[in-house]
Amino acid sequence: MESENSGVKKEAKAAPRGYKKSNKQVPAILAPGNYLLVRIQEAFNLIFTPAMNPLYYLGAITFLFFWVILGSGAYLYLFYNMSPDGAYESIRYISEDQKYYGGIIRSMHRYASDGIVIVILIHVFQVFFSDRFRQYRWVAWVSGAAILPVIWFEGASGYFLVWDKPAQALAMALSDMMDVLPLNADPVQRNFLTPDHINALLFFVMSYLHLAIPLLLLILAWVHCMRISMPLIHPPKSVTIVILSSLVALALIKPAASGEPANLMELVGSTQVDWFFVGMFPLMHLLDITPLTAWIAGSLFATVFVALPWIVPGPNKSEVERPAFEQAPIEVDNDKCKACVLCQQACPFEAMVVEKFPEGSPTAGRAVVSPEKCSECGFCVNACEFGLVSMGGVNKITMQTYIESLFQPQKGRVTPTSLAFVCERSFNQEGFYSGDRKRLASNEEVASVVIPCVGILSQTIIDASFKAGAKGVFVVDCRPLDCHYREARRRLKLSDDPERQKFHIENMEGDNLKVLSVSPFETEALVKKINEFNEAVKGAKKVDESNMKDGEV
Amino acid sequence: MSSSKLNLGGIVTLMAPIVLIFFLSTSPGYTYHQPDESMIIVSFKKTTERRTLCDDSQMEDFRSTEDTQRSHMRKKGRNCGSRDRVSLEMIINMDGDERFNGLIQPSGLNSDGVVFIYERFSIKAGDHTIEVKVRDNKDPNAEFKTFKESISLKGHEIAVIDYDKGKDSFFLITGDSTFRTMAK
Repeated sequence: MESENSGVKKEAKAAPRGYKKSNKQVPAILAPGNYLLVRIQEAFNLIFTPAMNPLYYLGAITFLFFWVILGSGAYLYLFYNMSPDGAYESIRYISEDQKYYGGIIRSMHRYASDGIVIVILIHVFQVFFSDRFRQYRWVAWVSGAAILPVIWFEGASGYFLVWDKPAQALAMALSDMMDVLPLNADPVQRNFLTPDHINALLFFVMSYLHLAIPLLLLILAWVHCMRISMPLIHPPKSVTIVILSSLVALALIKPAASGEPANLMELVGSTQVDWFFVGMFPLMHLLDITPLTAWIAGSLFATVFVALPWIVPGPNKSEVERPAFEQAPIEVDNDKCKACVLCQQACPFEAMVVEKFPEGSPTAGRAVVSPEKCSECGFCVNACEFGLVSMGGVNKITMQTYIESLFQPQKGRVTPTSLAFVCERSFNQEGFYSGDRKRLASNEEVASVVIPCVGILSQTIIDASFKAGAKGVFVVDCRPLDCHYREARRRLKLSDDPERQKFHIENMEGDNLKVLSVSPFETEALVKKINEFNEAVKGAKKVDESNMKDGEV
Repeated sequence: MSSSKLNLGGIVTLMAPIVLIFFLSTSPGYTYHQPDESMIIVSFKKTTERRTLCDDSQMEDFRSTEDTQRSHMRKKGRNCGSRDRVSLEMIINMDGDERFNGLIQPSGLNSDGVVFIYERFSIKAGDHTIEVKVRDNKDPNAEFKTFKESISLKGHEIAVIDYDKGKDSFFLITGDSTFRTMAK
């Protein structure tokens, strides 16, 4: 098998450095942050359960806040007066004369915008330290980086529209920032020289900008998700209810209130500050940072931030525990393609597109892979029931041959009784395997196959394992919602066709097939469970594959 | 969407960021200016003299083509002379102390636009004497035009010094929005 298959590992590699604690395969520079992140995620898993962990729904929660802001903003717009003289009074009217509906809606509008900042910052932290911003994910990172200043400007323009003292401080600070740029001969600051200098159109323009920016955000959000199939944009119902209830509770406990009305002939003294949006300006004032310095520092930071996917080096491949099936560019034998679109449905990053040819053509169609979008997860390899998709020379047929080789009697070794498929990213696998990585170090009776992701498994492979001689199959997965390739366990559920849904590995679970998602820190408990499982299936008869039905083992 | 329910610990943890919003949405507050602080803003726009003007013969030629000129070009002296304009020199003294002394370039790539000025001066509340000296003459030996005014500022009050093109003079706008022409 090994001589036939260049993708199969020939020798064990040293344990990876830098991320031994969690085994998340991230560059060494991200390892400390990754360790902290995984610890937090696991703590949240204990509190929420992995299925409800809000850290796995940050993008969806951001969308939730966005809809709250959009809905509440539409209501506020009905009463807003777009003039320097009427703006403050119209907001006061909403807050005070409509205290229990307009006031709550205004508060939710404001607090949801603060919430979106919190969620986005955590999302950025999580994406960065889980190494999900490079390679095929660079579009999401760069578009996300573009969303950040747009969100900030949207929030800041909202604060400006209230036209109270904090808005006056913001207007002065923003005009100071703009006047550093060589854009206007007439300083923007002169627009706020006296009340008479304010152009009546200014509030009109700012209002419409405030209304138009959400459309821009939707476009950017579409770009952000465009390379992701089936992005999660709705958090679980109970999470939604708790978040919305929290916003209402906060609106009742601390209704959003305006400051004193703006007066351009009077300095801004002590004022409230929303640190989520306009906190940078008091800090600049306090630390005596000039607008030019702020621009230079901000531009440098933005440049580095956007360039991170190309700056941060990938994990050192020579130090990484490689899976049995090497990740490599996907190849398709299009001469025999049936254009069944299974591979296209399986791809989590929309890298595979199947083109169907007209009837009478030599082939039914062809599958085209976009290398820049491909994560080399291998989902398509196993999705193709005809073995036409291969990764580094490995296709569904050769994988089965490899599994058969594990159960061939070997001199001096016991024949394995069960087989463990292990996601290489699931937990700390240091010392988990024997020297050749084909058995568990703790139990020679359990053969092991390290795979890039459990998403590459399908009924055919499971069937092949039993056919080869395994009395039990144990699949070790990472947290399903934290899958590096996103789709692992739900990929085949995407199909509406019940026949295809049967291939979903969870639907095949039984006494001799177990799927377990593990904490990256629970290696010992996992070993114990696998050994118990092996003991349980050892006495069972060999599975008679002739009696196997689809979806059953 | 999952139909799972949250336990009490989950609900409490999920509400925790609300506490963060509760505090950081308004506090800690910040004091931009102390109560005894006030401010004088000197801001105006002014068209300075052309760096070189045409001589009599050139002016005559210019006048002779007036019939073919568009209406906005027919003003006396218009478009006669160099395009670029002289810089504006400005000195601002407050209570005898020099607070600003600078040469401000006209806007435009060819320095042919208007001079824009926006300068803020933080000052303690109370009585002050302000002196504005400007020179925008092509003659480098020309005298500064000097404007002087006394002002009494309350805490947080802002006074604005602007330029009146019609009177070729500066004027003060005080916190109560009253206008006062500065004495030459």
